[in-house]
Amino acid sequence: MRVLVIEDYAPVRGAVMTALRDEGWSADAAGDGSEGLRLAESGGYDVIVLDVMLPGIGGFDVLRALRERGVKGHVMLLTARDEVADRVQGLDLGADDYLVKPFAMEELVARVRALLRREYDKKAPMIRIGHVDIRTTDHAVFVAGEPVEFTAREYALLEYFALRVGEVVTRDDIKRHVYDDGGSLSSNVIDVYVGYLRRKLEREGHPPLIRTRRGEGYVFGSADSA
Amino acid sequence: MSSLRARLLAGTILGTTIAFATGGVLVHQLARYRLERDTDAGLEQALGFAIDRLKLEFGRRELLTGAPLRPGTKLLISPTGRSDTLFVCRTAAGILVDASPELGEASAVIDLPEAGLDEVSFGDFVLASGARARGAALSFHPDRMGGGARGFGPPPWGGPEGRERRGRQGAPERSGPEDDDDLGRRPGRAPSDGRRPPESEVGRPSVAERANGAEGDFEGSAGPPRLIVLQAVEARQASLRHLALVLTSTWLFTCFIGSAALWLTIRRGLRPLEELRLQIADLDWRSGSASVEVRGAPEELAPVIAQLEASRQRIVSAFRRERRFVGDAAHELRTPVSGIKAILEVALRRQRTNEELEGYARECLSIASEMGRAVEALLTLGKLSRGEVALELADVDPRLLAEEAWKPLAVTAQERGVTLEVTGSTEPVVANRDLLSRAVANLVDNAVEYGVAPGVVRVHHERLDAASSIEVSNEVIEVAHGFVEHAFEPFWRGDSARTDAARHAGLGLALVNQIAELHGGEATLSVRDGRVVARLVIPDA
Repeated sequence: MRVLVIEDYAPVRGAVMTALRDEGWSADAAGDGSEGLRLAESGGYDVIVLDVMLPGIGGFDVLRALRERGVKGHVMLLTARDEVADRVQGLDLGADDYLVKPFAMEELVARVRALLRREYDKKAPMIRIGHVDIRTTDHAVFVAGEPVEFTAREYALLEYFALRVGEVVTRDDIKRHVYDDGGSLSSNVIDVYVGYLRRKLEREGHPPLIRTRRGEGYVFGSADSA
Repeated sequence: MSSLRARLLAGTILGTTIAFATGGVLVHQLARYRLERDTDAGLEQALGFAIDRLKLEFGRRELLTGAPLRPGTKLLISPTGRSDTLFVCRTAAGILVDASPELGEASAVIDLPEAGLDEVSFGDFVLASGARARGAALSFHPDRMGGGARGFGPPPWGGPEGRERRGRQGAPERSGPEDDDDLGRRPGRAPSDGRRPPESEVGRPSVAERANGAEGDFEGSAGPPRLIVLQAVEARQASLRHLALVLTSTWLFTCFIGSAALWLTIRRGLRPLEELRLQIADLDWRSGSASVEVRGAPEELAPVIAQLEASRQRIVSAFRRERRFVGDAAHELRTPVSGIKAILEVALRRQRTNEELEGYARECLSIASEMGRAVEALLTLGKLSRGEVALELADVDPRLLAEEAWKPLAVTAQERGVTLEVTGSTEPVVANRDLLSRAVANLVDNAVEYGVAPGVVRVHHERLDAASSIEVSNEVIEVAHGFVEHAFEPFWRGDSARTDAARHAGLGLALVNQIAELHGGEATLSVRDGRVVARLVIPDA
């Protein structure tokens, strides 16, 4: 899950980034509109958290430019003024959600999560794939009905797989959506994590959920759902 | 008398009343004077007629020693020929010659002080009947005819009519034995064509005649006989009373009608005031949308309305400034508060290591310090604008202030390659040291913060006519839109100011401005030769 935060006030920006990373998502940040626009165009972010009150290019202008340039990804506006006109303008410009400052961090995270579900067309917070249940709200995972502990990184990987169930997920996708510093990561590390996941998800009598496609990547899901 | 209407009404009514009353009294007095003068003139004329009559009816002896008859027996009607006139004629010794029978016994006590021969004296009487009368007395020469006209000239109303009357009256009586040579001089004896001899021949006897009469005619008696003519003044008094009544009623009526008219006029005239009051009550003092317009307002109200409108505009703009200030201040505090809140929320969401927690704590601390600075600046700004700061003036060297302001910035500035250059006059500025120090520090701080690095921050002090100018300048690449116009407003910041540090709340220049104003000077910003120049002008105290 890749999230971009465009916010000029450093303390808030840092805190949001930390909160997003705590969720196991990959988060990038920009301090002003032009940098934000550059980042958003370059990498496929799932969600862009965009402050309306930005120095230089304002938030609305960034949003307009993003949509004009066909940048995918859900945009959540952070507005300081709780005015209908502002929210309507934002939504009409192509934003998917908005949050009025000051906001609770929990709400921001929950809304980003909701946007991610929409991004991957999964409406329910509970994802069931084969014998595995994933509760995205509190990162609880049940394998064959029993709770299993996952590390944050493992969970992030699992959730990403779950959101893209049945699709070929490349190592590069994983790098970008699960790791902040994806660039410097060797694909070996990803293989290792995928190995951890396989082991934790494996159960007697159930088909394996993660299959490797040589030269392409991985496909997640039971054979029938794939 | 708090109501303007009551005051106007009372004042005007009082004024009109007094004016009308004074006018009435004046008219009344004039009429009385006129009537009295006419009465006196009539009495003088009556004296003339009566004396002529007496001389005709009585002999010289009778006039000098008294008639043996009972009063009123000889002259059944008043010798003046007028029924409203009474008379008393006495010898100089007080013996009655004749008197109007109506007077009866009272004729004995009626007298007036002696004014001399041929001199008329006047006086007022109350008759036995209680009626009031005006009297005229004259001592006359019993021999000469026409004596009544002597000493006071022709009658005041011009003669012809009187003389004609005298002529008419005189003619039928002119058969008495006392006719003498003087008779030829009487107007009654004038030629029948009505022409009269010249005035001097009629009224004025020759000097010889007068001397003759005065010297030897009263022998054997105490002096000349004396005639008193009385005229009832009831009619005159009644006229005056009537006049007074008319005047008074006119006065009262005028006062009443005038008051009513005044009341209506004033009420009408004050209606714009009432409308003004209602409009003021309805005015929106906060937004200043509608303005005061009073239809049909008198021109005296126009400046009041204009003044009111001006005041209202000032209040409205003060409200606007205040609202914006409060909004900005709230926003200014909300931003760091939201920062602290976000950091603490994140800190508490997960189990954190000590290093992480320390990091969060430091971050919060730095934000709190920044808020503290903003609050301090706000408080100072408030104090300055309320005028609560005592302005103790002293000689201050602005160059020294610049050096002082530089000290805390020196390390950062050196890292960024920014240096300070202080130039100009070494003369001191008369100002409050703390405030000027703060202003200079803010300007230098801004210059280091927003100037091009590496670069030079320049502080230049210059003596002007009766003022000092302190300029702080720094190089810039480009200036934010609206910078020169708005930079002195509280919370205004160039765009780049918020991006990273967020340590300036946009109050620094607003403070500089306040400090300059407090010293009676001004602060201005300009862009010259690629440098932003902040100029502080402090007039000599």
